[in-house]
Amino acid sequence: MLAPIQTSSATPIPQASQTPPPDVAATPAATLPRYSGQLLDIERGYVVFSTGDALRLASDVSIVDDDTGVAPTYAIEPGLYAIAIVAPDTGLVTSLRFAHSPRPNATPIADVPRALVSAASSPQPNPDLAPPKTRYTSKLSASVQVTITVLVPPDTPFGADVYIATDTSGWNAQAIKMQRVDGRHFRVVSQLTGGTDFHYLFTRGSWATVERERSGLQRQARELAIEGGDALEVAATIYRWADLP
Amino acid sequence: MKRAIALAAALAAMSPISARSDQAPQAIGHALLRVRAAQVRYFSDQAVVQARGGVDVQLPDGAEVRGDLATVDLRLRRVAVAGHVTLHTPAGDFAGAGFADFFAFRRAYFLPLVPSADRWTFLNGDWSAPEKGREMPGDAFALPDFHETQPYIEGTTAAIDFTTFARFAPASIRVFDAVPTPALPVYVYNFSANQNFGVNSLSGASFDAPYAFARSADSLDALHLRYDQTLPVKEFWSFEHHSLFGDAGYAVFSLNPASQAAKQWNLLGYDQVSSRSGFAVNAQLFTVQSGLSEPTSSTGFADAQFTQALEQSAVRLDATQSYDTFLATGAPDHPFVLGLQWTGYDQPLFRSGFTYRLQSGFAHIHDAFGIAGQTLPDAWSHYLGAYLATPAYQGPAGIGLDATAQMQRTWLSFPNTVSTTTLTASASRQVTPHIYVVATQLTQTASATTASLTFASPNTATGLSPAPPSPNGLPVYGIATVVPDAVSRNYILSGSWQPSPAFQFSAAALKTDYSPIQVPGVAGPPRYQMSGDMRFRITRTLFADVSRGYFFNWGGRLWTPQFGIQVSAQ
Repeated sequence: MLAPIQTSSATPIPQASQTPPPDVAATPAATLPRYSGQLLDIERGYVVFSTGDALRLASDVSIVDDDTGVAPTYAIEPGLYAIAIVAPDTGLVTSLRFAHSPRPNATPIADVPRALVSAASSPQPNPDLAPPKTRYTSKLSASVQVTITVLVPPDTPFGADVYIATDTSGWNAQAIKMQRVDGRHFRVVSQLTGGTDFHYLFTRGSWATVERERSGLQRQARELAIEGGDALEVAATIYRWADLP
Repeated sequence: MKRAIALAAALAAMSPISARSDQAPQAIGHALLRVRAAQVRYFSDQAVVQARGGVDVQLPDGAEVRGDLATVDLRLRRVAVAGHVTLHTPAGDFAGAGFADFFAFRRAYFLPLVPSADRWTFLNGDWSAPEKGREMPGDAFALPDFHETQPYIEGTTAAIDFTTFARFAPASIRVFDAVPTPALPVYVYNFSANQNFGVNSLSGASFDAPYAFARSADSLDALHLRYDQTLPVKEFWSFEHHSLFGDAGYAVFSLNPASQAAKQWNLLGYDQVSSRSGFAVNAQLFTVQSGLSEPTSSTGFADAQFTQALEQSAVRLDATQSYDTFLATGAPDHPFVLGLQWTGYDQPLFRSGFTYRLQSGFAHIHDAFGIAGQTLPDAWSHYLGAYLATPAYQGPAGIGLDATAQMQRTWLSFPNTVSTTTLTASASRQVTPHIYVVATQLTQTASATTASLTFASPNTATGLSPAPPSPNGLPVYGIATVVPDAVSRNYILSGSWQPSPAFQFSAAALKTDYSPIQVPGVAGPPRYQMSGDMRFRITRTLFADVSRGYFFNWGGRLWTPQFGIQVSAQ
């Protein structure tokens, strides 16, 4: 059995002091080490960031808004961004400065010296954290230009429009409209983020005109996973429409 | 030496290794994650549920997490709880700063603060033996920032099946991403990857706002507020129910409209009998009735198909039963068609680059009141058809060329013979990276030995199915499509401009020469037509599609009666 909760020690979040604290960042103390990150929690004498790093608080820690330098008018809650100013001699956080947006003017909390991080257990390696293998990598852009080109069956009515229905659109049969390229090809170009993964089917605008297998049987949805890279070309073929023999 | 290597290998196999869960995502089933808080909000752009204030999260295995804030990422299949976290498990209760559970990987990360700050990792649902001090992913507890984002749904509770749906109660929904509705008792947001939840048996309507109110892992019930600009009373309600059987089977029932006298009762069903065969049913009942009172009119039909895939072709047995009336009044005319259809797969024509497809069908038609206005109660039909398609050739000046041809002949036992051909030739060119222009010549012919001895049937095995079947895609019995010795020659110039997925514009000009007669109000389509279609994003998730046509004063007609407007979600 692991240690049970100590019911009496849940300290409240130290809200903005009733007596305005000194704005340490506006004083020469601003040269003290500053570490910024996303707040996860403040309690029991710790400030914990979303990296999982817990820093100890000084008993007289001051809490201010980073933009105004005065006590924040909003509630201090998880998800805010914070700068922790650490006293080098004690390793304790003497000031916390909060904001609603990331703070670039400080060292990322992920780079905080391990000596300042509180952890009861010694660090253990995690074999799961090996870099994932991807087929493509990109250093040029975060988004991938995806071009989907499809060949439609010869019995497709000439005036028909071709669409893509996706699971991300609730399988709306007209979610993405394609552009006619020639007598039998349609295409669509889109910018998608690496890691995007969705299922899709081609339609002529309604579920009664969705694509089918060659045999006319219902086909499983196609899947597109964007693994990375700068451009991805998908060439697809529709063999049958559900409403045509 | 070999024995030493074998011994070393055996020892290595027996030596303890650090515990780890599987790297590949695993199926997580349909057990529900339940979230309760002062405020539960869903942000559709990022597929994240956020709960704030007195958060209580019940994990699928029964463990409970409480805290100040929780986020549930439907794509990552992760729940993160932060701020004054207490974790209640069969192995004990713990207090800490943060908790994150990645269900697909069966890893739960916890940051205890009692008795002192630490890092624990629970593997494979084992709450009794956390890995202490184990390194964690740097973003395990990252919280998405919604500071300046409006939610799509707001409520106080959510029940989440990570593979299919999230149910919110009560729920206020932001219509057009702008106007919140009053609090509804419940709202179900469906995000299943199973496409059978997308099977839509509701026809018509230029705007459809579904309100899903009941959901399980394999069923969905929804009311639809609809708008159809072509109806006298444009606004109406409809109801639709989905039931799924495994990954490939479904039954969809709908009543459309439910709030008007003229009603359609629809049933669509499909089941995959084996990997190479399937059974489908499609039934419609048309009634005119006030509410659920006795109808003054009631007609319908049912079509059942069994499809079997063969090596390079498929056969389909197709039975269609029609009911001209279900009422005591009127003639009890119930035509029946039974057919067998064979369809070959597309095949290469030697090494020419051409492809072809062959089709044939054989059907028996029975109508006790006479087929096609004749006294004959029974008739037989069989047909042969073929498609031939060229590849896309690259011509001069970047012009692409392609063509298709379709020929079909149907023999009826009246006797009669019906022949149709369709020839299409296209020249296309990419003008700019975003603009394509396509010029097409389309010729269609239809001829019958005896024009009066023809009919149409939704049963495709007869070879006499109108295509497209009907505006809503569902077959309608009794549309005459064959005019003796008719020829329609169409010259089409179309262009499309798609600078981005958020904006598309297309236009087409069409000239039609129709014989034997093309006179306004008598026969034949308009000689000249133009049409334009613009599709553009109106909110983050909604698109509007506006279209209109022009007939160049054909019989006094200039414009199509109204704009075509369609609003859909992406």
